[in-house]
Amino acid sequence: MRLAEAATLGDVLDEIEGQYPELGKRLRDEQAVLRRYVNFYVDGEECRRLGGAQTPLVEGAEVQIIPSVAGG
Amino acid sequence: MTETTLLAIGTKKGLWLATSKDGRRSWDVSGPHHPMHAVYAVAIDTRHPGPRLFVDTSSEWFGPSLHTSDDLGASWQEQQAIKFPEDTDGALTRVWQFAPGPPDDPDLVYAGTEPSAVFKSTDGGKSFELLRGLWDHPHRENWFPGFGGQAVHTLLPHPTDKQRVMVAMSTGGVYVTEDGGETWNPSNKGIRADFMPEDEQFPEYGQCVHKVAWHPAKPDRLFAQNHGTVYRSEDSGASWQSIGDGLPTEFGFPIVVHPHRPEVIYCFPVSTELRCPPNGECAVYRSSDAGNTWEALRTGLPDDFWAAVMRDAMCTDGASPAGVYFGARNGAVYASADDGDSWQQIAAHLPDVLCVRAAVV
Repeated sequence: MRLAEAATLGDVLDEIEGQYPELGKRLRDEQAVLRRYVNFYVDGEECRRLGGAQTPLVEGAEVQIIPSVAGG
Repeated sequence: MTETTLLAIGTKKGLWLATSKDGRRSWDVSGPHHPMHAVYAVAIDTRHPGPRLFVDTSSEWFGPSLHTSDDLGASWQEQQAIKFPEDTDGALTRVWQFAPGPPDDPDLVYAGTEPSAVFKSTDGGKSFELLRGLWDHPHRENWFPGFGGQAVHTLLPHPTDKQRVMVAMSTGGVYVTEDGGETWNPSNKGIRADFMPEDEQFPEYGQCVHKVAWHPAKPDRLFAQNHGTVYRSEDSGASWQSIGDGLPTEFGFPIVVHPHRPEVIYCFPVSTELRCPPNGECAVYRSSDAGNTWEALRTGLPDDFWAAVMRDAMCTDGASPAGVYFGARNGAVYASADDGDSWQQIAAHLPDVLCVRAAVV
């Protein structure tokens, strides 16, 4: 995915939302808040331990989106 | 040709569809549709050919989605999401209620949501718009979530006056608009909030109303299953009187009106302490005189039944004699084809049943 300089995780999610709106809304609510039980890893680190959606990305960064194992 | 009756069963983990083609003697149950999604709200909109099914599916992971089906659940179309506008601080948790408008306006559909708000569609459910009058209501900051969440769980669009809609929420109580949603006024006079201090039990709003029902041919008369007892209003909700005498316990969640006899109503009393039928004796209570007297309907219903019936998990169909249906949190679903006189179990061991809706299709 090609992004502008100084891109963040939120920019990746904006791009996904633009291209795949039905996926985008499953990752963030309409106020762009990350869904609670979806985890977003930036280069192996869960973004909530970093800057959340504002986590900066470096060139070649790898973003993994993984629904957490929850519920019963 | 025998009519087909459809019963939609929303549960905590998906939707099941039961159909009967033999006069409601036997049922085929299919599901889960939308597995692992909680279905708090389903509607069978018989104003559309098919008819059109509306279902809100909410995932613990991925949030809520709106789906419709025009072929009795054989295929589903995901519709545009119901969304709070950006300038609000709201985000949809889920839809608790779909309310098709009157028959002469088949594209009018309302949705009641968590958090407490009302959305309106004028294109048959393809898109919904927030009614800002209720969202911006000065009382909103004082509405608090009951155990199930802060939601508009009841929506009653007036059958002839399109400007008039009644809603109910727990807590918050009953509100009415008479100008199409611009302004909303509380309508709780006489409803006791028995969880409040003794001298504050009749507030203007803040009651924990569990469900309100009416018959479309007699919309001035309303019935409410409240947290504390059952009420009737004869003046469009301006005032309410208790009709709980004669019930074994006055707590409960659902209340429904017979499709053809506006004076016949049904509820499912559960004990305040256990939230189960008293003594585990499963019973629907019916009044045939608008709540003045009650009778227990137990033929075909079990003992040792330790589960509650949620506010939207009881319904009727449009047939005559009426079909009456309920599902419980133990995953059991019962149906009556004779106005409630006798019952048969038509499903068991489903996930928690959250809502049921039935119609002759």
